Amino acid sequence: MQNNLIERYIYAVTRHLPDKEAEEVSREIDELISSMLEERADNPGSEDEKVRQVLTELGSPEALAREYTGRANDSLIGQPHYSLYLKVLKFVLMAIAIGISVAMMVSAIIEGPYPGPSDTSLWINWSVDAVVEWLTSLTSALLSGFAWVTIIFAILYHKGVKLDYDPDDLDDLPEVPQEKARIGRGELIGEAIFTTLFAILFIVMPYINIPIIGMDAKPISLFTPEVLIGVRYLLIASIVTVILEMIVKFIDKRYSLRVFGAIILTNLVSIVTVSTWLGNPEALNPVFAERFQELTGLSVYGINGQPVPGFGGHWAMLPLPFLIVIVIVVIVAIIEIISAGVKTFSSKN
Amino acid sequence: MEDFENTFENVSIELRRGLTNLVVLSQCKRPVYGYELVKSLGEQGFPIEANTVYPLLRRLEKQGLLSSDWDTSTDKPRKYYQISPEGLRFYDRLRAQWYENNKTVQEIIEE
Repeated sequence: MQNNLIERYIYAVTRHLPDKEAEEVSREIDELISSMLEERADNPGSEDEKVRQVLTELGSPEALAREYTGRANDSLIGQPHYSLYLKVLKFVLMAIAIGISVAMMVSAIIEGPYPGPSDTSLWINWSVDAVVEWLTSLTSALLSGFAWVTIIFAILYHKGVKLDYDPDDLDDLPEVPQEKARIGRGELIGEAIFTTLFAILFIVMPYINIPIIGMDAKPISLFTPEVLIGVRYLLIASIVTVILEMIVKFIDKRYSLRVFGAIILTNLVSIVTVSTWLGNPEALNPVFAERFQELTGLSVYGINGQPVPGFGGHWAMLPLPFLIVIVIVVIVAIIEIISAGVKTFSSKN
Repeated sequence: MEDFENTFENVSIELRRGLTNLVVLSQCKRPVYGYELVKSLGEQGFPIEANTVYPLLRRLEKQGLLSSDWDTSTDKPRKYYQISPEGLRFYDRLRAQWYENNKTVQEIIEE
């Protein structure tokens, strides 16, 4: 029984070592254990107890095996490669997630059997199918992206390939961005979530967009689907420019000239999109407007049916909240462009 | 206070790690087997666990600083290690380095 215990211990230590080493290490440990037992020969206690004492003193087989394999190079990817690996991995996974999502969104709209306006059950089926397909493609694409980046970095690490990480010349070290010119992670995550929601509600499901429940027998959408479909390519352009802006911000992490350019482009496109969409007198679902007037006695157009002062043409008779949103978008765009400009150029000095 | 004890334990292990190489090499000027080394170092006041000594001897051998031979003449076969010419050169240099560091560190911390 005790021999069996010793054999099992030695096997546990050596089974993961390379074959040629395992044999030699087995002999060594065997020798060590018998030396330790020899020393305890005169002690009281049964042979089995002594074997157990000795093996306990030697510690867990796993720890002993670790001592034999050594500490160096025992990780899949170690430093300094690990830091860069994490950065590249994050970037690649994010790029894959965005790329797959945009591609699926566009193909779901263009190729998919796009259901008609009113059949709710068809709509539910279509949405479930699109989401399932999106999740499957996303999962497999993320997994293979992860695998490739990991394999490549594992090879780079174990081949000892030098990273272009410490420049020969001290003057080549990159400049530290000033505090106010830095772009926080939280800002980007917030934008990403908002963009995704926006895309799902207004581009992927225009017939549902923002469902208003309880005003009619069945839910009605807040916005007129046909108008949303009419401005679909502007909406997609807005999303694309926002994604571009996020990618540039993610890479540069500070207000660079490229980021500034992207911010100008995004804001111009969103002004055009919002004023074309909400500036359309039909943008608000007429069914909703009618019900609203029936329930509250107030008209949503203009200021309770009267033109909004200071605005001409059809603008004065737009639903007031829409007019406010358009004005806010324009003001925010101007402020954002100016503040980005200030941050970009003040940090250059 | 457990953190204090843990940290102390870790730092003191780190401190001893390099010294263990020096001490083990110093004992291999004549052929020794692993457990003999464990016992003699323990008696001289530098206790090292057997599960550290055996892998260390193997590593030093792989690095060419020790050579080894199995003595199978008795019914208890034993693996004897002895320092190689290269190992001796390495040991002399390491010892000189230790004396120098020891002197400098002493001067610094005794100020």
